[in-house]
Order: sequence, then C-alpha cells, then structure tokens
Amino acid sequence: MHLLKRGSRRWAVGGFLVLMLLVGAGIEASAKQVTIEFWNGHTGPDGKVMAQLVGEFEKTHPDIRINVTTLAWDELFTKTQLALMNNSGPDLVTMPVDRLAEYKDKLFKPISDLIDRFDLDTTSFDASLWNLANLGGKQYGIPLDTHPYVIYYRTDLFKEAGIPPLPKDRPLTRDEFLKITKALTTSEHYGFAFKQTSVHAWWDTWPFFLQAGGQLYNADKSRVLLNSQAGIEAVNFLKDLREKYKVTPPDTMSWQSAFSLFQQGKVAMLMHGSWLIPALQSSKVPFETAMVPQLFDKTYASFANMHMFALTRLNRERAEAAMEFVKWIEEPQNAVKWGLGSGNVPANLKARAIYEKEPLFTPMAKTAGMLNGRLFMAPYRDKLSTLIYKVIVPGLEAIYRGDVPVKQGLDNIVEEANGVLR
Amino acid sequence: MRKHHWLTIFSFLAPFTIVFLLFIIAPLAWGFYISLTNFSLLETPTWIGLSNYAHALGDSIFLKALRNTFLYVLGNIPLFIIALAISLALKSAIRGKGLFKAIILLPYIIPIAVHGFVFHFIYEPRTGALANALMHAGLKEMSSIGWLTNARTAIFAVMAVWTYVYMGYMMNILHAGLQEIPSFLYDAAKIDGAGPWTRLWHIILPLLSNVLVYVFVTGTILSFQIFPLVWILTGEGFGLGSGGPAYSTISLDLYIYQSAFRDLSLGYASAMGFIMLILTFAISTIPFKFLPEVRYE
Repeated sequence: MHLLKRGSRRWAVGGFLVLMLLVGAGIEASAKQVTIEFWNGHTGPDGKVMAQLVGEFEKTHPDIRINVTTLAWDELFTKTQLALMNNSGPDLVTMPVDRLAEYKDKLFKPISDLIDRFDLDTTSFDASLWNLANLGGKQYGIPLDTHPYVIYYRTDLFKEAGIPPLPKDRPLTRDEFLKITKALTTSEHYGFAFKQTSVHAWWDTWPFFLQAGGQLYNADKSRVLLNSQAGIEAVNFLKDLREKYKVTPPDTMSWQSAFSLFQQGKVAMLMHGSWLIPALQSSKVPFETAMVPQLFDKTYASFANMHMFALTRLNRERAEAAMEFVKWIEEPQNAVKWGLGSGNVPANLKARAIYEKEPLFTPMAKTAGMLNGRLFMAPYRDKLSTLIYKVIVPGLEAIYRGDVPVKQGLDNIVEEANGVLR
Repeated sequence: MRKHHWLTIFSFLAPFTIVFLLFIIAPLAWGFYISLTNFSLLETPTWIGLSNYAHALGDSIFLKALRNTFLYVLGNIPLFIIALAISLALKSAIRGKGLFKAIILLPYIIPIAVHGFVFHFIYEPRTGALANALMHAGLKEMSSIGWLTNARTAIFAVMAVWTYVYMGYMMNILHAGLQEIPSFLYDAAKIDGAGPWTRLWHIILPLLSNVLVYVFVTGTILSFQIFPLVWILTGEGFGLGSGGPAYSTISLDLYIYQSAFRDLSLGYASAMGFIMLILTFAISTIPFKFLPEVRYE
C-alpha cells in the first residue's frame, strides 16, 4: 500500500513536471506569436476569399494569428471609432478609399516608414491607385483592388435577338448601345435597366457624369458642380432611356428590382460592379461581361472604387505583423486569388495581368486601366457620407421619380451640398 | 436602532441605486451635456449652448422624421383594432386556440431583420409575391407598383410589416386581459339584452382599461424604436440612406443614428434624442391621465 503510494507520488511529480514543461513551452510559443485584429467589410463572397487567404497566411506564418471581424462598411467605421476611443479595435482594416479623407490621422495613420522597412515594391502597384492613398504627401494605405462597373448581359437573350457577343476590350459607342438596347426590348423583356434609388442611383449616374466632362468640385473642393452641363446631360440620357427610348422598365428601379428582373430574363443588360461576378457565377444565369458604354465623348469613365489596407498602429509589434500580412497578400500569386475570387481587379500589376487573361474579367481590367485614378467621388474630402446619402441620393431619386425637373433637381442638390461643405 | 434601520434600507437600495445612477442617470447627464456641444466623436466637444435644439426646429428632415414617427405611433390604432378583433374571436373559439396563438405569435419571435429582408422581396414590383398575387387577382396595373420606392406608399408598406410583426404580441396581451373579465358580466349583459357592440363598449373596453394603458404605452415606445425595420426595408445598399424615398419613411430614431454615425454630428443627434425622450414620455403619460381605471369587484 505504502509502496503503491510512493509510486503514485512519483508519477504525480513526473506528470507535474511534464505538464509544467508543456505549459512553459506553450507560454514561450504564445509569447512569440502575435495576434492581430483585422476588420473588414467583405460581407459577400469576397469575405470567403479573404478568410481563405488569411488561413493560408497563418499556415505559412505560425508566429502571426489573425482575428478577422467582418462588418458592414458603415458599421466598420462606427465601431472602429468607438473601439479606438478605448485604445482597442482593429490593427488592420480594408476600406474603400473614398472614406480615407474623413478618417485619416483620426483612425488610420501614415505608414511610409513601414513600407520602407518592409521593402515593399511600390512600383508593382497601379500607380494611379497607389497615389489615391496618398493624402497631403503622406501614404495612408496600400491598395488591394479596384472594383469598376461593367455591363452584365444575358447571353441567351442576345442569341435570341441575333446579337453577337459584345467586345471585351473596348466600350460600345452611344449609337451601338442604343441600337442593341432597342433590339433587345420586346414585349417579354427590356434591353437595359438602370437603378434609380438609394446609392445605386448615384453610382449609375457617375460614369456618364464623368464621361460628359463633369467635375464634382471646384478647384479648392469648396463647392459641388453637379448642376453643370455634364450633370444635366448624364441624367437626361438615363431618363431618356426610360421615357424616350423606352428600353428600360418604366418603374422606379431599385437595385433589388433591377437584379431580380435580370435574373428572371426580363432585362437583358445591367450595369454593376465587378463584385457581382461571384454571385452570378454561382447562379444559373447565362451571362457575359462588357465595358460600360461610352455615351459621351469627353473622356472614358466608369464607376469604380478601391479597397485599400490601412493601419491604426495601436501597437508597434502588431502593426508590423499586419504589414507582414499585407505584403504577403499583395504578392502576385495571392493577389490574383483575391481578384479571381472576389471579382475585383488586383492593384498589383503582375496579378492583374493574369486576371485580365480570363475573358470574363477582361472588361474589368481594361476599365481599371483606362480610369487613371478617376474613381468614385475623387478628389476626396471629408463629409462624403453626408454629401452622398443626405443630399445627392435623395436629390437624384426625386429627379428619377419625376418629382422635379432635371435642372431644378440638380440645382437643389448643389445648394444643399454646398451647405454641407460650408 | 434608528441608525441601524437606515443602514438596512440603504443597503437594500444601494445595488439598484448605483446601477441606476451609473447606467441611466450618468449617460443621460452626459448625453444632455453633449447635446449642448458640437461633437464629432473623435474630437473634443465645443460648447454651443442650445444651437442644436434650435437647428432641429428648422431642419426639414427632422420635422419629417417627427411626422413619420407620429404616423408610426398612430399605426398602433389599426394594429390594436385587428389584435382586439382576433383576441375576441379567439375567446369564443372552442378548439385550436393554443395552436392559433402560437402561429400568430411566430412573427414576433422571428428577428425583425428577417422580416425586413423577406418583405423586401414580397414588395418587389413585377417579380415579388405581392405583385404576383395582384397579377392573379386581375390587378396588373398595381403589380408594377414599387411599394417601397413610391413616396406615397412606402410608409404604409412599412406600417403593414410592423402590424404583422406585433400582431401576435398585442393579441396575446389583449387575450390575457379578456380572460380576466368574469364571464358572469357577459351573462348578465346578455340577459339584459345587450348586443355584441354594447358588450364591447360597456363591458370589454372599460374592463380592459389597465391592459389598454399597457398596450398603448408599450406600443408607443415600440413605435419610437422602429429604426431596424425602416433601415432594412428602405436602406438598400449600405443603409446609410435609409428612410426614403424622399424621407417618407424616416423615423426619429433612424435620423438620430444617421446624424450621429453617418454625419458625425453627435451633439445634434443627442439634442434630437432628448427631444424624442421628452415626446415619448409626454405621449406615454396621455393614457394615464385620460383613461379612467375601471375595476370589477
């Protein structure tokens, strides 16, 4: 009995020592491991691609753990602000570049020193995108992608109407576009649908406003110039599609309505962002892509925004680990996975070259190449959310609903917008 | 002995008092202070006195939000009438009461966000369930109405969903109240020759007065919190522009949120929050003042 007890004690002591060694090793390992908080707004299929890439990174970088939090974009900024007030929250975020002017320095810090220390090859990026993350001479982020608007069209309805596939490397002219939309409009379906509600109304107007030579602000960005001739022409053309040419449904189209009609074959063409690709690929809709048509001759433009990485720099070690991840994901083989999975055009030029070879993605890449930094709402300034959602969107909705004539509606927008900017 | 007595009282009250002061009074006081400042969350508040309150009175969106919120409160009237009718029908039902109550309570249990998404699809013009139903009913013209994109119909479309969600909740409360009314009162009234309307006006409604006060107060408070439903139903895209079209569905709580976190005007949002607090309180006291309490003994 006594012997047994002594034996048990030995086992117990031995076990305890082994346990302590394991705990010690664990503590040492976890001391080496850095955990970073990565918040992003990739709530769609792009979120799955990002999670997959994070998983791959963690496998090859056991010393870095990434906690991913996915939130709706607006929630991301609200929560980041609240968290940072208490010195917590994300170390790394992906964000649309148009929000940078509002949050630079307050939430996101310059990273030029980290770019140098990590020897990031800045020439490997699309220079026009890279420069958009530079405000006041300071680099606040690293571009991940740009996501331009393209035309999605139903190949079955095109075949039915005897129209050949649309070119992938050039936009349709105004005449070509009108001819095709008219040919596709029958008693069964409409040739095209544009969105007239919510932020989509502004996104759908933006390409043609720029194409008609529109400038959103005056030189010092103190006044909005949406009621210029370009604004009037762009909005009038879209209204004409519905009222004069009758090639779009006569109702006030929301994004949901337009997409439902497209899915059901009641609309042949739709204009939307590259991020729609994964959803369409997983649906049974027979579709193809083309560039947004060139309706005005001043310049070529489409709607596009840009996702970029930004750092809060709450902690030096975690900021460096975040930078390690950014450098890794921007390597061509990883950046192309992001591009093909999310539908968005990689900012890394080598990745973009591979992405562009896929016929479905060619129009996106071509568009990105032609935009030359003229992205949505650029040049940037603060109060953008207020400007877009409180002034421009309700104003455009009123015009498209027919509540107010085009010129008067645009004048109203400008008056209110200038009030916000003041 | 007397000192010991006060210590006992204080020790019993202390936990609640501390929590109340910390989590209700302190934030309220801080909120009131913020409402007198210009504050954008990440910068230091600057004192501007009552300017935010003055600005609210001249802000057309605030006034629309106020009007809509009153409409949402008024939307409780049809909700109440339908819920009362169902609970009366249920009272006289012989079988299947439990099952029916469970079914009608189901929408209340399901998160409101789910209703928002489902009804978004139901309301779709041309392709939605409502459009299809109207088409089959021979109302082809009406099937192309964008119920949520038309400024004349959007608020009613939101109120219909609200009624659908809270129907079961109201019905259950009213049904419980009806069960409390002694059956001999109905029997006596019937013997005296009282018809259904007379019984409703002279027995049911007076004796439900306490329940009605509760239903009115909770209904009003809930209507002041309609934000998530409006956000999802009308906030296509990122929700930041929800409350349309033409601010026809914007509610006070939604506008407060947008002002705070979209426009980063926390001072203004706090001022509107205080106005909303006063209004909710004032409206909630109406039934206490005007609805006499009826007891049966």
